[in-house]
Amino acid sequence: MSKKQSKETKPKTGLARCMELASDRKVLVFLAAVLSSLAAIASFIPYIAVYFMIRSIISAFPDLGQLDMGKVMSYGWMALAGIIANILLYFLAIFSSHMAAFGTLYDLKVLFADHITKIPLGYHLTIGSGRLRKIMDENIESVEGFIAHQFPDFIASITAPIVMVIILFAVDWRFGLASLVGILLAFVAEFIGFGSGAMKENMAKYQKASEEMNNASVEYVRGMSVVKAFNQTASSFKKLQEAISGYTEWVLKFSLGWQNCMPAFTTIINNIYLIIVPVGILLGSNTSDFTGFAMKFIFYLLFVPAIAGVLNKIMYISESFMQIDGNVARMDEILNIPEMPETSHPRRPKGEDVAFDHVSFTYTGNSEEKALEDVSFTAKKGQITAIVGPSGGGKSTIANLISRFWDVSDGKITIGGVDVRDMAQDELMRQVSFVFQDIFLFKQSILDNIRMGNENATEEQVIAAAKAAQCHDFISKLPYDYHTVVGTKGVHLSGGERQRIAIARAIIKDSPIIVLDEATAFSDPENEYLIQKAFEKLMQGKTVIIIAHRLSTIRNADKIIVMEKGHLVETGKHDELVSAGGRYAQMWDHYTEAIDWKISGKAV
Amino acid sequence: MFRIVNRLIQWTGKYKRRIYIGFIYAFIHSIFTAIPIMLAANGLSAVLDDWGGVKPLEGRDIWIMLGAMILAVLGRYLFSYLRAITQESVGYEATADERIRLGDILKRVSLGFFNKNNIGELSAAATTDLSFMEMYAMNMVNTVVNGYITVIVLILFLAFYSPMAGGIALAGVLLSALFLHLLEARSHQNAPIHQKAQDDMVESSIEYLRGMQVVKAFKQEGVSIAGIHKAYNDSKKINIKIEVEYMPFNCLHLFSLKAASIAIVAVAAWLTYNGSMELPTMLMLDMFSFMIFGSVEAMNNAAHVLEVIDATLDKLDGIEHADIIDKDGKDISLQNTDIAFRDVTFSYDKVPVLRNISFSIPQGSTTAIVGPSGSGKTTICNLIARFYDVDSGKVTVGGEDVRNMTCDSLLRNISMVFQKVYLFHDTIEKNIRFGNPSATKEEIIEAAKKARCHDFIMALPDGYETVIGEGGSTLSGGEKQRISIARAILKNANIVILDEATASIDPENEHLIQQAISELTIGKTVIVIAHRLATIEHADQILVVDKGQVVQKGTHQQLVQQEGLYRRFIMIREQAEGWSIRLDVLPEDVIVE
Repeated sequence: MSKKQSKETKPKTGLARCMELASDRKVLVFLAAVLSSLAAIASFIPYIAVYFMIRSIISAFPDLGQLDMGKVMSYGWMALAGIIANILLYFLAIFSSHMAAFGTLYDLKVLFADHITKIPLGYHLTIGSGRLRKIMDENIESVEGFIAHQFPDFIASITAPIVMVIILFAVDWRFGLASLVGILLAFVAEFIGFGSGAMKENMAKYQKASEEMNNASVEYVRGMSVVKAFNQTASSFKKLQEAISGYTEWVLKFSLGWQNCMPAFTTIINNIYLIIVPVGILLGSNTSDFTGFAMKFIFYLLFVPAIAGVLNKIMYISESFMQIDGNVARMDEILNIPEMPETSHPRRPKGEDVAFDHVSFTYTGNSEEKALEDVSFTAKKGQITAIVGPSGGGKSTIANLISRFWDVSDGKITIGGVDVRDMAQDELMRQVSFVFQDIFLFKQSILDNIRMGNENATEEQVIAAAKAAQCHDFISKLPYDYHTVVGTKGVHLSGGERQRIAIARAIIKDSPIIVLDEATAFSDPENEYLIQKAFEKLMQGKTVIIIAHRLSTIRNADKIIVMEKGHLVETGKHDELVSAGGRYAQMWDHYTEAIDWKISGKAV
Repeated sequence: MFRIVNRLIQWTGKYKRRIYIGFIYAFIHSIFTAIPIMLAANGLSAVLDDWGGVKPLEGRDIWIMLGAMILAVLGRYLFSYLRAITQESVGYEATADERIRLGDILKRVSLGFFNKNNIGELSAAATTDLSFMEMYAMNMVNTVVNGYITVIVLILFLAFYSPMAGGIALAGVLLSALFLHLLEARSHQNAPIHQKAQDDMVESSIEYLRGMQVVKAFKQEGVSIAGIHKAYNDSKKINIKIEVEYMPFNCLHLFSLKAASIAIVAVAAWLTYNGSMELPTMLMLDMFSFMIFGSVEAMNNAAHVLEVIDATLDKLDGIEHADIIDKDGKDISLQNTDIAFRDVTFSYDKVPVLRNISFSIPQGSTTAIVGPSGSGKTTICNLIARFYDVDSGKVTVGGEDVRNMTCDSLLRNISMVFQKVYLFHDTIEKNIRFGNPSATKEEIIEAAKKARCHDFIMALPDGYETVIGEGGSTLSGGEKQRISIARAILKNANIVILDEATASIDPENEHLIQQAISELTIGKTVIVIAHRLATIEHADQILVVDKGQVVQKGTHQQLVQQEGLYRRFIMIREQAEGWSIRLDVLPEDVIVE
C-alpha cells in the first residue's frame, strides 16, 4: 500500500490518481472498462438491427407479399438481444466498478486511518479533528462514487463516440459528414454561451458570492448567542439578507446564462434531422441507386436519438471531473505528510531525567517564527519542574515536544540520556504519561477507559487506581458503576470527573515521567480539591513536568522555568525568583493582586 | 416519487405558479419534439412516392417541409428556453427565500434551540443542504414531471397513428414506473440502514480521531483501530448489498422501456407486412420508437436524489416549526432593573434543573451565584435573559414578567460576558461596535481603553482595523475576552451578567480582565457566576445554589457564620487555593464529609 503515497516527482491528480488508488483491484477496474465499452458498442446494435429490418422491408416494397417475415423477425430478436446485452453488460460493468470502488474505498480509509497514527500528533492539533474527519468521511468517500459511476461512464463516453463516428461514416460518408456538422454546431452553441468572457466572469462572481453567503450563514448561526445578547438581530439579519440577495443575483445570472446555451445544445443534438433531411433530399434527387440511398437516408434518421444520447453523456461526465480533483487533492495533502521517523536501532533510556538541550522549534518551518528558541533545562527524577509564562510563551510546545507530537527543529530532547528520536515510539510512550487539558473518554465502560492505561490491569487494580484518583465514589454511584458506558443516556460526567478518570488512567499506567497540564478551568471548589488530591497520588516518586496556570500551585516546585515568547527567561525556585525581582516576580505580583480582587459594582 | 416532487413544488410557495406554467411550456415543447419526426417521415414518404412514381417531388414541397421543420425546431428551442427560464430560476429564488426565512426563524427561537440542535447541523442546513436543494430541486421537477409529460405526449402521437403501438409504449412506461416504484420502496427501506452504517462510521471516525492522543499515549492502537475497521467494513458490506439489491430494478426499468421500443418496431413491421399500415407510417413509428422513452430513461437516478431531497425537506421543516419564543411579547421600556424570581421551576430535556427558586436582586446591587457544577447557576442567568422560558413561576425584570416582553426589548437592558467568547470574523473595531452600532470611533476607543485592550490593539499591525482570525492576528484567549468586555462596556446596559471566565489564563491577563470587569460593572445591577470565592466577598448578596435550589442566601459575612455549603466551600477553597504540589508528603484528607 505504501507505494501509493505518490512519491513520484509529479503527483497525479483527479482521474489518474483515482486509477492509481484502485490499482490493487486492477482486474475489476479492467473488467469494468471492458464491459462498459462492450455495453457502449452493444447499444448501437438495436439501431443496426432495426435498420436491417427496414432494409428488407423496403427491398420488398411495394410488393410486401414476397417479404421473408422470418428474416424480419430475426432482426427483431437481434435488436432485443442487443438491448439485453447492452443492459446486462452495462450493469455488470457498474457492478465491477462498484466492487472495485468499495474495496478501494475501504483500503483507502484503512490506509488513511493508519497513516494518521504515524504522522506527528502535532498535525492533529493544527489540522483539527473536525477537518480530518471530513476528509476521512467525505472527501475519500467521493473517490468511491467516482470509480463506481463516473469511471465506467467515462470509458463508455470514449468508446461510444468512436464507434458512433465509425458507424456514421461507414454507412455513408456524406450523411456522416452532415451529422458531424450538426454535432459540431451543437458544441459551438454550447461554447458560445459557456466559454464567453461574461460567463467566466459570472462564474467567478458567483463563486465568490457563494463563499461570502456561506460564511455569513455560518457566522450568523454560530454567533447567534452574541447577536441576541447584543440585541443586534435586526442588523445581523440585514447583513445575512444582503449576502443572500447578493448571492442570489449572481447565481441566477450564472445559471440562467447557462440556460441560454443548454437548450440550444440539446435542441440541436436532438434535431440533426434539420441537416440530414435537406442533405438527403439533395442527394436523393441525384442518385441512381434509389433503394440504397433511401435505406441509408432512413438509417440516419433513425440514428439521431443515438447521437443525442452519446453527446448528453459526454456533457454530463465532464462536470464530475472537476469535483474529484479537489477531493483527491485534499486527501493527498494529508497522505503526503511524512510519517514520524521511527529509529531502526531503538535505544532504551538509562534513567528518568528529561533534558532539553538547546532546543529550537518552529511550527511553520519558517525560522523567523520560532515557537521555542535555544531552550535548555533538565527535569530531574523525583523532582517537580514547573513551566510558567504568558499564553503563547511556549509552555504547551515544551509538553508537545517531550511526547514527540513534533520533532525539534534544532537541538535535542533526551530521556535518561537517550535522544527521544532514538527511542522506539512504544518505549517513549511507556516512559511518559500525559494528563491533557482536553479530556477524551471513549464510548466504553469506565473500567475499559481506565484500563486503557494498562491492558493487563485487574479489576481490583483499576478500582485501586480509581480510588487514588478520587473517582471511586462517584463511579460507585453510576447506574452500572465501573461498567457504565461513557456517553450513554443519563450518564453525565462533569469536567472534573472526567479529569479524574483521566488521572486514574495515568496512575494505572505508572510511567516514570509525568507531563501535566494543570487543567483548572475553574470547576467548583470540591472538584478542584479532589483533582489536586488525585494529582498528588499520581506524581509520587516521578519525574514531573507541570504546565502551571496558577502560580500558588507551584510554590514548592523544585524548579520553575519561566517561558516568554519562546525563550527561557528565568529559572529557579519560587523564593529565589520572587526575590530576584524579574519576570516571575512581576507575574507573582499580578497573581496576588488578581487573587485579592473583589467584584463590587462600585467605582474602581 | 410524485409525492416528493409535489412536496418540492409546495415548498417553492409563491413560485408555484411559475412551475405550473413551466409544465405548460414543457407540454408544448413535447409537441414540437414530435413534429420534426413527423415531418422527417413525411419527407421520406414524399421521396418514396417520388421514387414509386406516385407523385413527383417538387422543389416547392421540399422548401415548405424544410421551413416547417426549422419552425418546429425553433419552437422546440423557444419552449425549452421558456421552460428553463420560468422553472429553473424558481429553485434559486425559493432557496433564497428559504435562507432568509431560516435566518428570521433562527433569530426568534429560544437560545435553547441552539443547544438542542447541533450548531454544525444548523450551519449545514443553511449552507450545504440548501445548496443541494437549489441545484437539484428544479432539475428533479423537470426530470420527473416534464419527463412524463413528454413521454405521454409522444405516446399520444404514436397512438394516433397506431393504437397498438401506443398501447405497447404505454405498457412499457407503466412497467418501468412499477419497477421504479419498487426501487424507490427499496431505497426508502434501505435509507435508515444505510444512514445507520454511515452514522456509525462517522461516529467511530470521530472517536478514532478525537481519541488519537490517548490511543497514542497509551500505545493501544490495536483496540480502537479494530473499531474503525469494523465500521468501514460494515459500511462497505451494506453499500455492496444495497447496490446488488438495486441492480435488478434498474435493469428491469431500462429493459421494459427498450423492449417496448423493439416491440413497437416489430408490431409496425408486422402491420405493414399484412397491409394494414403504410410504409412511411411504419418508418415514422420506427423513428419514434428510439426516442420516445428518452425522457424517462434516466428517471432511476432521480429516485435517489429525491430521497435526499425528502430528507432535506424534513430537516428544514424541523427548523421551521421551531417555537418562536417572543411571539406574544411587547416592546416594553423598563422603569428600573430590579430582578426577581418567583417560585421558578425549570427543566431541560425533562431533567429538572431549577426547583421552586425565589429571590430578588435590587437595582444597582451585586449578586453572586455560587454552587457545584451542574447546580443550575448558568441556567438562572439564561432565564433572566430569557434564553429559555420557565416551566412555572415567573422571572421579572423591572417588575415586568420577561415573557411579556420581546427579546429585543428585554436584552436592550442586559450585557452578558460569556465564558466562551465569540468574536466575528471582522475588524476589531466592528466587533466592539457591535455593542452599539451608533457609537463614534472615539467612544469605541474609550471602551477599549476601559476594557484594557487599547494597548494590545494598537500594537497590532492594523490596529483597530485588524481582522480577527486572519493570519498573524490570532489573539490570545485573554485578549479576546477583553474585546468582548469592551463590546459590553460600549453597550452600557444596566444589567450585567458575568460568567467569571478565567479558565487557564495566565495571571497577567487575568489581572487585566479583572480591571476590565470592574469598569464594566460600575453602577450596574450585576449578577456574577463566581468560581473563585474570594472574588465575591464584597457582593451585596450571595446565592448558594445546590441541586437546583437556593440553599443559602446572604452576604459573605452572614454566610461564613452559618453551617452550610458556603462555609464548606470556603474551607475547601482555602486549601485548594493554597495548594501547592509536592512529592514528599501527602497531606491528610480534610474534606468535610
